[in-house]
Amino acid sequence: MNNEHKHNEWMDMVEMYVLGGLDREEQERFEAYMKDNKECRLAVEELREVVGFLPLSVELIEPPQGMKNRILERVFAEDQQQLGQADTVANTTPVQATQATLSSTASAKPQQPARSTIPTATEAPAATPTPSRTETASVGRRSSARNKATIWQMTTAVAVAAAIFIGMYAGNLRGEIGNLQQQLAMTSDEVGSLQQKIVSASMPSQGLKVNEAVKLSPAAKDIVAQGLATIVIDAKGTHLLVQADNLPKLQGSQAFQVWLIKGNVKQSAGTFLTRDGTGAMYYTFQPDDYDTIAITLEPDEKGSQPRGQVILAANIADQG
Amino acid sequence: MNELMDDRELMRRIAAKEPEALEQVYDRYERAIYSFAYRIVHDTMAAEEVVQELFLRVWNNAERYDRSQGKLSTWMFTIARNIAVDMLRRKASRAVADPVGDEALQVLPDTGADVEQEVAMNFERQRIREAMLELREEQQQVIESIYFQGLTQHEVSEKFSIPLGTVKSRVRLAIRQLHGKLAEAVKGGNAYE
Repeated sequence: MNNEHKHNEWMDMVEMYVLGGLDREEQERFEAYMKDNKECRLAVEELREVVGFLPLSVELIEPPQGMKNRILERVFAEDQQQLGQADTVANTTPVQATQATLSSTASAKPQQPARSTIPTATEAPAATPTPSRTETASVGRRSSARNKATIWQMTTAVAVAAAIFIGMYAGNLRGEIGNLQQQLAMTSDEVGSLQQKIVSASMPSQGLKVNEAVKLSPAAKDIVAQGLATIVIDAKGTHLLVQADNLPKLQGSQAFQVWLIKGNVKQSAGTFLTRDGTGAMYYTFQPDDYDTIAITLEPDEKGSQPRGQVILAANIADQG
Repeated sequence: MNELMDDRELMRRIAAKEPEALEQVYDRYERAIYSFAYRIVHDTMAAEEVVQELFLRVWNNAERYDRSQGKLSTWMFTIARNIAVDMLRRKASRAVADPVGDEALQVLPDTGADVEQEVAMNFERQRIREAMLELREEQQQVIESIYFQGLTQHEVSEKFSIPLGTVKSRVRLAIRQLHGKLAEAVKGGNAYE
């Protein structure tokens, strides 16, 4: 093979190969040659280290706030999902360990538990928080009817959030999380069922307090989606859980994104994962006086500012 | 050196699905990888996406890392670059970057790491930057175009209207010169944290 090149010609390509300048076909041919030629292989190994220094020449910049938690949680959550599917015995140990470590080292964003269920949450609506704002507590100011609804929402949110925590800490409940989340549409019976599970699992649900729950309303007449945003403050920080269903079907690279808005400033709270129009997300944030939370339909998930149509929105300025 | 041993041990633990090991690797390389990804994609969210994809692969494919692939940092940078370049190519029809205000927002004063470590790291980085600056301008151009912008040698030839042979020789000489300047660092360790 590779008759068309003599050894020296291949060796002349080593630098270009390690730098990444060969096209796919050239690269494959080079790698095939390298496999059988030790000299070529050694040259590659040495020069690869040189190229490995190039990234150090770039200006250091600060990663976005909360990136560590978002990434590690996603990584472990995917793994968790795979574990769940494979029904391994591994149960919660890895996750718990991670949580412990993350909590101790990472920034002030303790959303691990709920967040690690996000992949699962993709399948089921319930438990996704998103960030929003800080203080809350003003539920008492509402009318009684509103209070009733809010209390119901709070109960629901507590049940859901607690169910997630349980899932995280009690491996034997992991398989049930999906079911629990699917129940987010929630009948009162289901709420009761979740609460029973909360009680039965020796979980730190006591640290959880729902400080605010707002209903997300469709932003246009033809939208039938609905959602719920819940703000939870615990010992580890302020968290936002958002769940929605009946969302429009995504096409191509489209994605739903959640935004926290304060005046003209729009802060992305991340991509809202959906399945069959239902999804949820969880976000931990630094309290700020956000006045609105919105879910938009974006052309892709890359935008740092909203570009697409607002699907659901809620005013949260008067909630606290 | 210890770094290699350390890398191999860490990867062994990651392959055994120890989350703490992955977190350790994450903490060690987060800024370097993120900064590198951002340098390629020029977008904060895309850069985060690159880092996420990288760590997914590290977590799921740790067993594929072996010493012949060099230091862990080199392995990870290679994967990160591949992800970032793929991303660039997917977006090729769009403008590559629109970092309006992003740069100013992001440029970084050092966060408080250990002072000695920080000094050592800065020294290492400084040395590499100097080695890069010592390259001739046309050599820097091909490195920039290929390594940081993801162009192939053919695309560089076309873009700058220079013969393919010239592109090849510039790359060859540039890498060899860097090799000469950084030989010591190649044999030793370096600071990424």
